[in-house]
Amino acid sequence: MRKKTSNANKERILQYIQNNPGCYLRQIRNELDLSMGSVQYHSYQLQKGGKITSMRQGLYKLHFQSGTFEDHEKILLQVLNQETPREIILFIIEQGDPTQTDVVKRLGISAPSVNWHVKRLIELNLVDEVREGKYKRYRLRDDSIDSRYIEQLLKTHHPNLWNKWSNRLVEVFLSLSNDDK
Amino acid sequence: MEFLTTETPFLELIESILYVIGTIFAAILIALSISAYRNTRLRKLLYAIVAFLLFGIFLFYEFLEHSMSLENTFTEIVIPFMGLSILVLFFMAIVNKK
Repeated sequence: MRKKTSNANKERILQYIQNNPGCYLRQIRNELDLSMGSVQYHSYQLQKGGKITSMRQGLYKLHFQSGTFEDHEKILLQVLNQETPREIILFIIEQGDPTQTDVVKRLGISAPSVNWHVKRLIELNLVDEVREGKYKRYRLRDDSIDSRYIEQLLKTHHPNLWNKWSNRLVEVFLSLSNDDK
Repeated sequence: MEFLTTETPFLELIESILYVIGTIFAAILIALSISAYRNTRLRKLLYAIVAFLLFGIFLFYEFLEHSMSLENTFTEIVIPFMGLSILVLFFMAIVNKK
């Protein structure tokens, strides 16, 4: 009887992780109303059995179903965990192909700062930069991101205060240095 | 106005508390800049990490000096040198292009 309950809990946890990619242990515990010990034990067993994988993001350990979450998605999730790159991507999804000036106005940060973040997004193959005369326009890489997919990821996205603050520290230094390159 | 010119136990206590709070804030800023560096690999943050670290040591040393009455010529040079180093590091973080 006890083993049956244990297996049922394991199944519930697996199902929850399948439906909520990037979820963390405390979230699973709260949503499924299980004890932390039980969640830790089953997630360890599922990981050992190769059914799920995990990655550390700041203070959280995020869980994914094995096979469905490739490295690219993990990179995307890491980007979405950082405030400014996340806002840039969401603005690009909303606008289609905004100029650098549009992004600067919307986010309220300096052009060098936007430039620096976009450069990183380009390096990660998430965004393309297109020159139109004297303007730079940004677009999502069609083959790499589906906006509905990002929405799904954002549903399970829980930014923490520490990440927000560390991101702001980066903004301060980028703004102070006024570095365009 | 005599309490402003001569050190009273109350003022000494306030001074010590301020040093401790400053050291705690420096520790938070060190951790925050390390976390920011790990997320972004922005090299200028390395200057900030060292600067905050020096600032933390600076405050902690001031606290020790104050509470244990350490006074020597070495301290008289180290304290302004640390202050200057912190400013130079922040300057480097601002002007460094990478």
